[in-house]
Order: sequence, then structure tokens, then C-alpha cells
Amino acid sequence: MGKDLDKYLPLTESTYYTLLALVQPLHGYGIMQKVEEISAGSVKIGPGTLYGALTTLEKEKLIQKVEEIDRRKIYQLTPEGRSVLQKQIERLQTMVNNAREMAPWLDQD
Amino acid sequence: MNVETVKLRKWFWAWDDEKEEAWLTDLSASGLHLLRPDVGIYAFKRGVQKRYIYRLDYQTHSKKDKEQYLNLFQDSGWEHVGEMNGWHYFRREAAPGEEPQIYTDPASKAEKYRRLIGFFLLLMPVYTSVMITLSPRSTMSPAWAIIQAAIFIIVILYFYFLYKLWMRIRQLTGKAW
Repeated sequence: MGKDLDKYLPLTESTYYTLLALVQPLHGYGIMQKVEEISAGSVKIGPGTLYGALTTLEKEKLIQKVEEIDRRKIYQLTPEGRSVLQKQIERLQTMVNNAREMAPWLDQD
Repeated sequence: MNVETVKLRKWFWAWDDEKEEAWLTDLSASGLHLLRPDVGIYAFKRGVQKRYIYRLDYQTHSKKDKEQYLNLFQDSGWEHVGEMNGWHYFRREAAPGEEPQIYTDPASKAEKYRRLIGFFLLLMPVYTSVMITLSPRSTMSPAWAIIQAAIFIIVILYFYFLYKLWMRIRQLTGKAW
């Protein structure tokens, strides 16, 4: 089961930020706003990309519908989705650590 | 005030959807705004010149999923102009220099073309059975020969479609699938 989740990695930037936003329940447009907010405007997800991501993530049970308000599904991470996010963050952490070891000057301005 | 409707004939190829978008944007800049798309013929409404950015998406879904889909686009500022055989036409007004996208990474954009390929592959059994039914007979009348030629052209076109879409995916992702 734990091994299985590795097949989702590495996540694309859009999928990563979508999962990150869904640590709290949000509808589609709420996700787009949240991602733009937490990335300080550097990551924007278009509705075509997001719709595809939500469809896939829901099918793969990494996210689930918690309720539906005004004909808009509200999604949240499932425990599997949480694990995938955690694994991705560990990978990113390793990448940053490796960079610091190999090129310490990167941290100096 | 009289609303003038203009109809234009145009054929568009699935892999050339970005040209289609640019064509519609240019027409809006000259004051012709898409009213509804139809196969090979488009209705436009004449109005004030606007910088509309058009984007085409390809999606087929159930009625309930479609509602979710359209709400997501609407919430994020896209107007749904119309639908034609699974192609959804969206637009939004944009400031000069602004190029709003509905697909913000190549991987998800490639998915759009994969869905199209999926649709074409779904038609494969239909084509095959038609071809078998209409395969050459020993007694070939001129009418039969014409039908045969037409089928041959359709088959060639079919594979050409698949090839063009496949190339588009390759271009976007560096791989065919």
C-alpha cells in the first residue's frame, strides 16, 4: 500500500499545489485562489488544468468530495492524498538538502 | 437597435485549435463576437471592438459533471460561448499583453489531445465494420467504385488525424503517451 503511492511521484507543480490547498475543504475556484495566495501569485492554475487534476485525483481517491454547495463540489484530502503530499514534500526536502551540500554558495546572496 | 448576425464558414482541425482561438480573437478585435459555433459554420454578432481571448477545450461528460465543469470556468472568469461535438468555446476579456490560459502546464494540455485520440479510437470498430461491409465485390459497378474511393479517403484521413494529434502530444510532453 505504502509502496503503491510512489507511482504518483513526482507530482506536477499544479497537482502539488492542488493537494496542498486541499488540506482544508475548498471548491474548485477556492483552490485556484488559495494556490495563488500561498505562492504569492507565482503559481496560477487554469480551470482546464484544475478540472483535469480534480477528476484524476478524485478517481485515484487522493481527494474526496466532502459536500456540495450551490452545485460546486467541495473537496478535501483523503489519508492517501495526505501520504502522497508528505512523500512529495520529503522528496523536495531531499532535493533542497542535496543542493545545500553540493553548492552551499546558493544560500548566500 | 438592430443586432446584426454574421455567418462565416470555416473548417477547423482538432490539432489546430490554437489557430482557431487566434482567429476568433482577431474577429472580436474587429467587432465580430462569436454567438455560437456549429460544425463548419459560425454565427457572430456585430458589436463594439473588444479584446476577447478565446480558448477551446475538449471534454465529454455526463450532465452533472458538465455542470461542475462549467461552474469552475465561470467562477474563474471564463464565459462559455458554446459547445460543438465535445468542443467547448470559452472567452474572457483581457488587457493588451495579457494572455489568459485555461491550461497552465503542458502535461494537462496534452491530456486534452489524449481525450481526442481516445474518441477517435472509440470509432475504430465502427470504421472497421463499415469497411468490411463495403469491401470490394467481384461485381464492381461504377457506383461501388466511388464508394470504395470515398472509404479509402476516410481511412487515410482517420490515420492522418491520429498522427497529427499524436505529434501534438509529443510536442507538448516530449513523449507520445
